Amino acid sequence: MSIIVENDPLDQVDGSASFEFGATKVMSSVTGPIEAARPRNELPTKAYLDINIRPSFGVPSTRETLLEHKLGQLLPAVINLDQYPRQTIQIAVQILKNGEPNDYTARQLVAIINSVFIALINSGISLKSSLMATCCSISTEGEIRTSPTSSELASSVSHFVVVYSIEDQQIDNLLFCDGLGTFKQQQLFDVLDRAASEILLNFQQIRQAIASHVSQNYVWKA
Amino acid sequence: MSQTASLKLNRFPPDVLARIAPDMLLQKYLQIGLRPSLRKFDEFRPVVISCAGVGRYEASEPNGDINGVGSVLGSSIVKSGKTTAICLISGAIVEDDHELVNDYRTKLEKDIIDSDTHKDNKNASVYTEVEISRGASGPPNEEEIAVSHRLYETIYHSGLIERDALRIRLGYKGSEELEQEFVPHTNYSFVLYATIQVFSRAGPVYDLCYGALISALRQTRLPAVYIAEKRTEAGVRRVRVEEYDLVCEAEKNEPLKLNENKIAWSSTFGLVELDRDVPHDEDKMEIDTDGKILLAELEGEAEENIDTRITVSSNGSTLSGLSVYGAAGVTKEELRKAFDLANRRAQYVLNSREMEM
Amino acid sequence: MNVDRRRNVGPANVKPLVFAESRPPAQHIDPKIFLETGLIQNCSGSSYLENDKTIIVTSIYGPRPNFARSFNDQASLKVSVELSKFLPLDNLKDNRKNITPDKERLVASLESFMLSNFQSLILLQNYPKSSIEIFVQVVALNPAHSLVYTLKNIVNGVSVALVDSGLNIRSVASCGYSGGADHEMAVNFSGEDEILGIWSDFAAFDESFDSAIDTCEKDSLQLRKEINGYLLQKATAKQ
Repeated sequence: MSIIVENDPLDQVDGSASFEFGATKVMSSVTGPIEAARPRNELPTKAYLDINIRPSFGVPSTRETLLEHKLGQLLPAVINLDQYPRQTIQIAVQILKNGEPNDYTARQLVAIINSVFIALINSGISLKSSLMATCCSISTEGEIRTSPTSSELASSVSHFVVVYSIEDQQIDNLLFCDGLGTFKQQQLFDVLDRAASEILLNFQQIRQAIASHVSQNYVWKA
Repeated sequence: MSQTASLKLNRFPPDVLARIAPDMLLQKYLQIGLRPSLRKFDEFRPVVISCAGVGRYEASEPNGDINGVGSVLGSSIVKSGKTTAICLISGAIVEDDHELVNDYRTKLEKDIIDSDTHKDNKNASVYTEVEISRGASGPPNEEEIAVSHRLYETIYHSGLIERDALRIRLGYKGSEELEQEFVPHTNYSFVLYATIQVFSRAGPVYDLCYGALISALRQTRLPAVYIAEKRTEAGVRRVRVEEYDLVCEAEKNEPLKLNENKIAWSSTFGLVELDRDVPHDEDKMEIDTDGKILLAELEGEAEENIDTRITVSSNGSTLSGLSVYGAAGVTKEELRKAFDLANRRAQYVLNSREMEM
Repeated sequence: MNVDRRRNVGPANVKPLVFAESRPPAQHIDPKIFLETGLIQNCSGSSYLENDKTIIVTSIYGPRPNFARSFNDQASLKVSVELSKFLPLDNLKDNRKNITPDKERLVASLESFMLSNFQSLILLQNYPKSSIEIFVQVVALNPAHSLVYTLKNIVNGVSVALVDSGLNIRSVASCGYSGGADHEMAVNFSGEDEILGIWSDFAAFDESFDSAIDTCEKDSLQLRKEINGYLLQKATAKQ
């Protein structure tokens, strides 16, 4: 999969990134830690995550709410929320290109997670680990495809979004896995293995993009 | 003069402690091999599935004579522990080629959307609205929306309902087949809606909602449809507009065809690590494990605090609709254990249900 | 254009199901009532009332802290009535106009009737700075039941739930119903000769009006006996 990452395309937020792979493109921004906008969002022991996802066309619907919900399940596992008590971290996501049929969100979710991760790094928010997401599909013949295209997704029996944490450039923990359609247990384990090696491979690209961005930012220091 | 201050130990009943220190309470229970609900780690709550019997065509049910009126096509009541979910299914009719997404987008770029989205989708789903009674009014909150949409997605992708099963075969009133030349040019299909009300929630509600929805779908009967004797055909600038009055038979109906092998049951598990730092009584220590503990069907405030979860549906052997997340990370071994339990649970519930209905 | 973004409402251009004229629903009404309290766990009081296939679930939350800015020296009461989706509402029409009202207006008028009834029944002044909320859900509805008859069931469901909640009330209210060929009436009594509210479609206050009230009172007395019996039985069983 060819990945195009753009670091900090937005200059009015603390961190932003766009992530593009294949026909899917997503731009994310992170603002925070900032003061809680509403008293009830002020959590005494940790930061409140304010996530907003906007679709590539139209207004947000229940579909986007479910994506926000999924992102809200994943992110507390990687952000050190307890370092920012009573504050808010705002995450705004704009989907630019779906790249998949309307009833699917796998590719978009992958791009959302990866772009939010890079945006979080750019914003300087404290993270517990690195992570990367990828998606796989199982075709009617039982063949596993990584980063399936729109038509491959539409003809698949099941598809998965897999997120692993990465430590010392090695695959660490399974943080998130979302699967739709029917599958066997062994098929899922094969998918997890394929996803892990795919992530290990592709994470180098993200790492490079981040490294070059950091060295650019500190070019005056050299 | 010296003063001594003394600290008095506070004693809290379990339900209070569950609110102020859920993790502590949970650990205290886990140490002695139990859960706050006094269930075993891998023990599920008993589940009772019954017909609500309020559907239009459920005449044979004990509640039957309410039928004959109204547009409820299927219903179910599922109880698990103290929690109850009531599911009602209804429908509407849509012209196949003009199924619109209810959105701004359709008004703007309908052609693009049509060509882009409505191809190859042989599956259909149910537009679901989950309502968890929690003493507040207003629009659904994030949890309700997420559960509703997840149900929609899971049913859609699992292939439980095929688009063909919802297609309407028009007939005359009564039993005659419609003659070929009178068959309208447009095809019609049913659209299914579901509403699920959850009472006395304790813990995650997705499993129960899924169970209620599946059970109600199995009870669902679709009406036979005929064309009423009114047909208008207007030609405006060579665009032919046909309009029919479609009427559903008051009594004639047939059950909704489901892909039987896709009927599944969903189970949610929590993963929690035994915390050695929580003070414990060596003598009473019942369990000795370094790994994480898998808890079936979370219940109560202390267990809802567990943030590593596995949700999976199973028809007894094949899995569908998986959701895994958590800070602690999930290993394959843990997944395997959860899948085994989910399979066994599904076999048990799906088989026992047959007998009840 | 108003789009509901919080519900997955499906395609926009659907036609509702139109059913062929079916046999008229049975008009006789079975007065037997099944009552159960305390079925719902996470609220202060609840009741489940089933009468001739109509199912009404009531839950009461409160007294809970009221976070309104201004100080209020007595509890604020809120009543929400919810008619489940897909219920047959054809029979819930106003007899005077003989049209099936809009669902929202129907709910609003039910809510305001109940609010005024229970405001004077609950001792709100005992709960300053709090709020009490009553939620009524009509889960199933017998299509033969009229609006006024359903109202009677709802009011009685709420009365029993109030007892279950342990909130301070002046007395156990019970609502009686009288239905004739052309007029219907439901009267909510809080005690002998003490009326909390009347819902009727009488245009003139003649003898038939008086006799309808008498019928309601008799009905309410009978019901009160039943309700008291049930509550007593429940209370003694607990000990």
